Amino acid sequence: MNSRSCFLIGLSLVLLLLTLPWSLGPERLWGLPLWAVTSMIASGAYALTVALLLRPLLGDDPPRSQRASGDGPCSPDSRDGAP
Amino acid sequence: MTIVDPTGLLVIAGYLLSLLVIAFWSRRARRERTLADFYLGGRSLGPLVLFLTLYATQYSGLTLIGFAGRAYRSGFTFLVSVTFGCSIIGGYLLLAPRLRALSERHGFITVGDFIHHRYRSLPLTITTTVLFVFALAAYVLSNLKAAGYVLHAASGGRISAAEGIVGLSLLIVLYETLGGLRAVAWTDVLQGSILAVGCGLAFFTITSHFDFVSSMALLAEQRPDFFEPPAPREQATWLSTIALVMFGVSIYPHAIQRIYAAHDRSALRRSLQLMLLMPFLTTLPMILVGYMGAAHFPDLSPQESEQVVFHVLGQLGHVVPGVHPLIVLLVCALIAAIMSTVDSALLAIASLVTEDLYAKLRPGSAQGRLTHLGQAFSWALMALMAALAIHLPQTLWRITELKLEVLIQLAPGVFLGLHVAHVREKDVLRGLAAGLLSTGALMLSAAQGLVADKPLGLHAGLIGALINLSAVWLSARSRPAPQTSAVAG
Repeated sequence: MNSRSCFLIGLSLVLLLLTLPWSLGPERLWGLPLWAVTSMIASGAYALTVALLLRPLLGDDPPRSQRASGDGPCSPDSRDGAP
Repeated sequence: MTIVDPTGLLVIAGYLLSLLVIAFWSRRARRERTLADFYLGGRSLGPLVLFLTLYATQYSGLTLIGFAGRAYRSGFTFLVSVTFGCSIIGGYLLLAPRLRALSERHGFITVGDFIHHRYRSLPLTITTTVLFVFALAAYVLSNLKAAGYVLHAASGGRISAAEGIVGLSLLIVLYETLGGLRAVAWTDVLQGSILAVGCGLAFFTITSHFDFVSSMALLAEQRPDFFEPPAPREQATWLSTIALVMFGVSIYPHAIQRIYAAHDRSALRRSLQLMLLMPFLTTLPMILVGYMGAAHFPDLSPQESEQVVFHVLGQLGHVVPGVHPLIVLLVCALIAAIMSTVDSALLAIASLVTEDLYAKLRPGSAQGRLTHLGQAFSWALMALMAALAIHLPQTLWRITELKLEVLIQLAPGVFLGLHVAHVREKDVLRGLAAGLLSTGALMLSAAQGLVADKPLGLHAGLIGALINLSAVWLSARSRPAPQTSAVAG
């Protein structure tokens, strides 16, 4: 696994862990318990991070010549990811 | 559910007929008789259509009424559904960039094309395809059953559940075979728009009548347990739910087909970014409506609470003018949500069977013949699904709830296949066997009362997936280290 994939998986897991609701006392915000509000804010931060990460990861389109010309199934003579 | 009057039923009928008009329109846009044109809309979906088809497909009827009902019963811990809605896009983040690049280079049509290309193993391709078909068929079945129930309840019994199932099945299979993914995506534009508008209007109508903060104060008096922070076991279930949905839902074959069907990467990126908003704009409002229902109507039975949105709106209808059209719109939205989920799953099953089973076993079949075969298969499958939705014994319905537990076992093959070079087909098959067996054993043991329903708060499917991953890792480690470690581009 390359370092960028490791970084992304790690970052995703850390951000998702932050959405976990923790006891924050009996306070309420907008009528909701504080732990629920903070969890939703963390979910919003996670969503924003994923939205920002989509930009560099999906990148730009390749030149037309490098895209598949046929519509059939994949060619069996090259296996991306296979050794 | 509140009964819709004959005028409302005519509006619903008009909406359903408009789907056929869209399907005919999409058929005229067909460019060629190929699998890519039929199952991927000619790889031409722009950002808005792609976003709305992803949205309408991913947000089933559950979102509209099921989640509100669950929130009514479960309390604030069900806010996890907003988080797992975001985590699905987090799952796409891990697979879409690489899968999209590979599909551009190799012309993938189904998820099975990637599996076959990556592992070059017919047994693995067939095994994963059969499991995907099982999960999707379970999805279709449960949604068809819900559709029949909705039409029966909304019409006040004028339409039986069986008639509703048969009628909607016929309509779905008709527009799907007319235009393939293009018809499905274009109808999803209408269905997704109705769903979003219906949810938004329901939320604003209810919050404009009941003050939210005072409703929550009332709820705190009636259900103080809702306000308790989750115990460690519930926290484990929170994380387990997110993991199950993130890795299970993001590999739905119809979702992966939409990654292939995007016109370009920019369209895919924008549609996924828009999808990140929807848990906050659709799921969260519906859940908050569930809490407001719990505050003002605390005595609903579990079955009544399933329809809490309609219950609250029905009560409002007595005091607020103009609510009835909103109820009709919501029924349309509910039917739309169910239909858009079923049509996408049906199309994905047909593509999996033709492209990953028939075409792999009979290479060289003409594209036109495969397309016709897929269309014929859709009709046969829909007839079977409709019959099962009407007649399946209640005891067997539990099987349809296993789809995510099965789907997550396929996730290692897809995610590791994209990112880890030295994983081979045998590793994935061993992991799959270990994951499915351990999940099955855990669920059977739980049914017999030998272990807890969720040991340590974790879903059986997630525990199975962890065993699956461990088996893949052990199997891959048992071989000598490969010469190359990077995933080829």
